[in-house]
Amino acid sequence: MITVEHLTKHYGPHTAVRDVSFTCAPGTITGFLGPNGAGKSTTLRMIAGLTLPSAGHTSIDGVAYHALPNPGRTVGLMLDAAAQHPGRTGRETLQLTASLLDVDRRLVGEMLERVGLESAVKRRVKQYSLGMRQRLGIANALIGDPHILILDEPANGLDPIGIRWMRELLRDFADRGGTVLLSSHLLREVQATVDHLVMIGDGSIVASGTLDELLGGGGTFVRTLDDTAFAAALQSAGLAPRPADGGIAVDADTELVGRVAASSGAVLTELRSVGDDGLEELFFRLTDPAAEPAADPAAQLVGMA
Amino acid sequence: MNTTLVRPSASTASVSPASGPPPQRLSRLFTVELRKSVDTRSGRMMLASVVGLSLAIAVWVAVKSWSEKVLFTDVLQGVALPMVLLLPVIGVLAMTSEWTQRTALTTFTLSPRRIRVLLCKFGAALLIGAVLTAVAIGLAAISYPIAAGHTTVPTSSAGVGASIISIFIAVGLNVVMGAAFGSLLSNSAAALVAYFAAPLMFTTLGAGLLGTSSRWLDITESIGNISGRHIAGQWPQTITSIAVWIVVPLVAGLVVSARREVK
Repeated sequence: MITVEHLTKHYGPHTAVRDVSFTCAPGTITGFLGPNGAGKSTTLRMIAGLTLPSAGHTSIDGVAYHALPNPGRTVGLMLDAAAQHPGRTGRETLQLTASLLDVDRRLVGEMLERVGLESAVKRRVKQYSLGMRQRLGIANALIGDPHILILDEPANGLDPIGIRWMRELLRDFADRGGTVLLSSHLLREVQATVDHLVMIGDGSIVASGTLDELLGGGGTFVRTLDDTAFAAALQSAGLAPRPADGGIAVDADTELVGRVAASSGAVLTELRSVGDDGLEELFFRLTDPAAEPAADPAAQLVGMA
Repeated sequence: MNTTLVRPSASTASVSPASGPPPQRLSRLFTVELRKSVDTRSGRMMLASVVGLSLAIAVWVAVKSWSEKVLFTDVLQGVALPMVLLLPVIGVLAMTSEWTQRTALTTFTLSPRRIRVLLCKFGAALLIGAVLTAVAIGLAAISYPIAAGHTTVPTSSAGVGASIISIFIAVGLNVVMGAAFGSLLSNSAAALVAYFAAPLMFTTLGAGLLGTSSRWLDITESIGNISGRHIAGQWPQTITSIAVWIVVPLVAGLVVSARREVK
């Protein structure tokens, strides 16, 4: 269990993280999503005790990070794939961690095999590609057999096969009761991996919830050849349609609206989930600095839901 | 908006048992820090160059003593000079290299109680410094009889023990001072320059600014007094300069490093 409460970090007049709160529960993968510079890494560093918060606090299983008896045995961290000495081999790097975490040194070989680095154990990290460093970072995080994983941009530098491997590894970890928190700046990338989303923009949380809620909770937008007739059909099906932007908005999922259309014989010209669009649009606004800043993206999303 | 929706976990928890792991042992941390300072090519090169340079000077002193009438304590003084001068580099780099290499992030997430890590780094630097000093003294002891055999030097062993102890103390103080500067500044180049230049500048400028009272703050002279065993009557000045140049930077360096943001 990871708990973040009212976390704030100021750098001089600049506020990097503002009143951020969320929790990550066992058995789930939480995606911490936001554009570059939104405060993701700063938040993760505060959780790991690398950066002192200006206000608020974080805990791991209810304990402050620095109070964990041997943190690597509880939390596996990979915050920067470059944080390995270029002059050590992959094996030496893991041996140091294994020694510190007091785990069996035989695990080193197993772990290198598990992350697909068995052919590179004797090469220096200097010669590793970014993807290989990322894999070494994962091995370093997993070697203490933790039940929590915190990964900053784990898909960086991985090829499509690597990304799928990472996704399966994290899913398996969570399915066995582990807690995963990973950050990303790509919505599509995390959408296939996570079951919770915490979206951060400009230091503040703008949306959080389960993937289903955030992606599907916004109701349905539908357009038919005869909207007036279809609105009546929806009403008689017990739904509350309202006119919206050249079509009908209704608080129901696309399947239910589609069924009403099928039974009433209405011809659909458009049928889509509003939440999905809203989330993507919101994320796009956050990621694209050139785009007009929304008056209050959070309020907008809430209004849609 | 900060409400978090937690999906009830239906899975059967089997990732790691709930019982807490045993605490991280200080002895293990020390071993790891010691190993880290010698297990990379750059680390070994640094040690090798310090050792090589020190030994070259030691040999030169031994050869020089060939034709002169020297006491073993004089040879020891010659051997001590490069040790006192160069071994602090190990102290400086012990504290700075992780920040320069960005491995501080890994180190301090695995061992977030940073003071423990820093003390182990101090300890590792001191141990390496002591071992290298012992090697140099051993070499001096081997080379001296050869030199003495060819000359008519007095083979008195008076003061040898005290001389060796004072060399270890002087090396130790300088290594700690280097480590203190390293932990204060975190950047290898800046810390090395500060370590070598600041006392030198003080020695040069201090007398002009403060007159004879500058001796109270002259760390170079103080450590010279210790290793040369001219400390009698100089205790107050020596202690004052050690406090200002070693104890204060050490405490400040520990506090700063413990709070420094790791990026």
